[in-house]
Amino acid sequence: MTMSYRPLIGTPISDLDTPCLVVDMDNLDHNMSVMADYYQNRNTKLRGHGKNHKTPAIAMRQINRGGTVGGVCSAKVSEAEVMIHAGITNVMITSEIIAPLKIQRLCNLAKQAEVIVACDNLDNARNISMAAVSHGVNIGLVVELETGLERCGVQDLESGVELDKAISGLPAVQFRGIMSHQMMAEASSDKEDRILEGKRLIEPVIDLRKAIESSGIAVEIVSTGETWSYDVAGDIDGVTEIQGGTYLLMESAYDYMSDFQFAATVLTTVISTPRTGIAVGDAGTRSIGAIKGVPLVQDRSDVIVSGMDSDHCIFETSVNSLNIGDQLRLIPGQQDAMISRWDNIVGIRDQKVEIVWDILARGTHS
Amino acid sequence: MHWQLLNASKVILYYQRYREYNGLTEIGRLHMEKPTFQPLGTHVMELDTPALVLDMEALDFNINQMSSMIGHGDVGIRSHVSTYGCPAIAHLYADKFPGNCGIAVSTIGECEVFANSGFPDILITNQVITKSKILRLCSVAVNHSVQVLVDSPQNARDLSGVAVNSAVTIGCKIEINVGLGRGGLSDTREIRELANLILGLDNLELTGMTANFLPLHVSSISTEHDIATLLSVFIDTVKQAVDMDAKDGFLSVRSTEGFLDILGASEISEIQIDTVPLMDHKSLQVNPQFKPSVKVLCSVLSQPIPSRVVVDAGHKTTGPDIGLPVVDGLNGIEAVKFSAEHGALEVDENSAQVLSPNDKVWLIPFDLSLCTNQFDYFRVVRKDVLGGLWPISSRGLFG
Repeated sequence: MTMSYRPLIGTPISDLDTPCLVVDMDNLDHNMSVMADYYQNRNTKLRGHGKNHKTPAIAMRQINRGGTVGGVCSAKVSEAEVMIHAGITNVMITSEIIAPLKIQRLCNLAKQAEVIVACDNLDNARNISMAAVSHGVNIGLVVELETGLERCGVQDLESGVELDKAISGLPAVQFRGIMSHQMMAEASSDKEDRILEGKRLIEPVIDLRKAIESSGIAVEIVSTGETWSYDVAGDIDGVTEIQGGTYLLMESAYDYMSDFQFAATVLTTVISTPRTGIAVGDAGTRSIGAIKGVPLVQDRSDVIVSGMDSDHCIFETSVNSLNIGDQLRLIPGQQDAMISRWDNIVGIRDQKVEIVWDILARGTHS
Repeated sequence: MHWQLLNASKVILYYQRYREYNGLTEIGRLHMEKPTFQPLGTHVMELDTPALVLDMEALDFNINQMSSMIGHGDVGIRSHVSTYGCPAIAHLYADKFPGNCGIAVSTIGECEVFANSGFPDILITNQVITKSKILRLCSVAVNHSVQVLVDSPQNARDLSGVAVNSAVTIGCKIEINVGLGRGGLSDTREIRELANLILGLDNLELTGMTANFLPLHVSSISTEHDIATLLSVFIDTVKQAVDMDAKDGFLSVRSTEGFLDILGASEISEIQIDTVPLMDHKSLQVNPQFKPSVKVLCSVLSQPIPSRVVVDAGHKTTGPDIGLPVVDGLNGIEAVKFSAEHGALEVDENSAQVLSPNDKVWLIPFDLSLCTNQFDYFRVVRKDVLGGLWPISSRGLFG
């Protein structure tokens, strides 16, 4: 059996085989502390999203650091299975679970942990209810409200109220509240802009909460917001938890969120310097992704990535400042697109390997 | 039983069945994807989704198409396996293609997997620079024919030094830059000097010159060139640099979409082909005589409004880094937006298609390598029935 590359603890970063997914442990801990400190003494708490790192060890590290609901979000049933089997006892699955096979797995998970799942239609709620009855479990449902992402979710308050009323009458499922996810239309480092945009996008969520409560049904959970709105949603009355995930490892698309530091990078080695001002690195789209464009080169303002293919990045420099064998660190455009391509994370502190984490939920597509 | 342990045992069971099914001795990784493993014989529409499905009837058709195009095998065919990472598929090609002369890989990790899977002749289409990787290269070279790309004198000396100590011979192809912004040399004097250096170094063999005609996935400069121009640049550069006999098996080109044009170029002795004949959307646009044999099967999660359907395949399964997947077989429905775990499809108001939650949708990946890169197995289907699980054994071996 061929194993993925797994360096020994203590290996100097300069000796790592490349390309290698490395995490700066100081920056990771800093990012965790920002969230923990912010939410420690608030009623609103963080529910970190496991899809961003797919690594139970990182999820537990944030839970232990504080400021959380004591659980995580997962994007898929299979991802939730990994998190729960690693010891996490409270998981919200942020996608609708439709297929009968997956609903069966959901019910099995509910025997082991507190499981909450997003729902946006009554037939689905009925199917989950029937399966939960037959398994003798109780599953929490949160109604997903669509607030600009143009994905799943009920489209208006009336539909949301109607759905939660119907759920409340079903056996073995419990209406727990509302879930909604938003992206900022235009990135801005100005907190005032983020406050305005965050409030605009989250306002319908609060309106739905009020409408449901007016109908006499209690709303326990309002789970919304994410990294860009962590300090906006956290201060909106009626929000109980936010779903941040990107803040941990960070990406260039979130460079405007200066509270957080770039923690995850792909270490690459220059394998060719074929022409003046051009060098070729050994990491490409397969290992770092190009969903949001080319990566940034960390701590080298004189070097840009001008092109990529599956296994190479092309560096441009104003002078011949790169030599064959040089190492560079690449900041991904979208970190969860990168993480899902790797089998482990190499944690670095003081220029040496401190830890190697298996990305246990990599490949949890279903 | 612990879920992961249960799945691990099932993985081994199905892996054994897979080996029996194929009669192969493939030795790959058992790194575990986390789907629900379903029995062979499961109908394709009952597969847990999202699933990477290989349609064997389409692949058989494509292999026959390609074999007839290749003709008598005057040009060597070297399948570039990094596009699909699956030794079982590479063995199929080796059996079927006239002129098969080995495989090409991108990394030393891929080289090790495919060497252990029974492939005797491997070209690594990259420079191998670091000491640790050169040592691994030489380890493979003990029992296999291996070649690497070279474009610097120091790298050639380093390769020679380790090869001498390991008592192996490493084949070297000099990489030529044909103007696509990649690595490789274009200065004829540098090419000549490097060729002479390699010829003079112990335990290295100059096996030719090579050029990569694939466009970069992402580029800040325009790199669009037709195949005829690229061939002309490549051949002229080499001819000016060294004495070349067109018949001596010296020039190797990596290309996919333009492989038919290259087959007709008498100077070219070998083609490294990536996507054909598995195919992806970008290859099908150029070579519509083939069928899409690899698709992602996904399920409808929601239809929140009549014009929008959301499926359970996002960019973590379709790899839309350089282009969105294409919906197959549903008129009036188009893939328009992919986030990490979700795909949004737009339903034309005149479409007669009606989709409900849990209905299945087929997506043709835009770029095959970026899609297979996300999965650990092909679900191999013939006549709509699951017939095997073929490991993508070199997935994730980026170095």
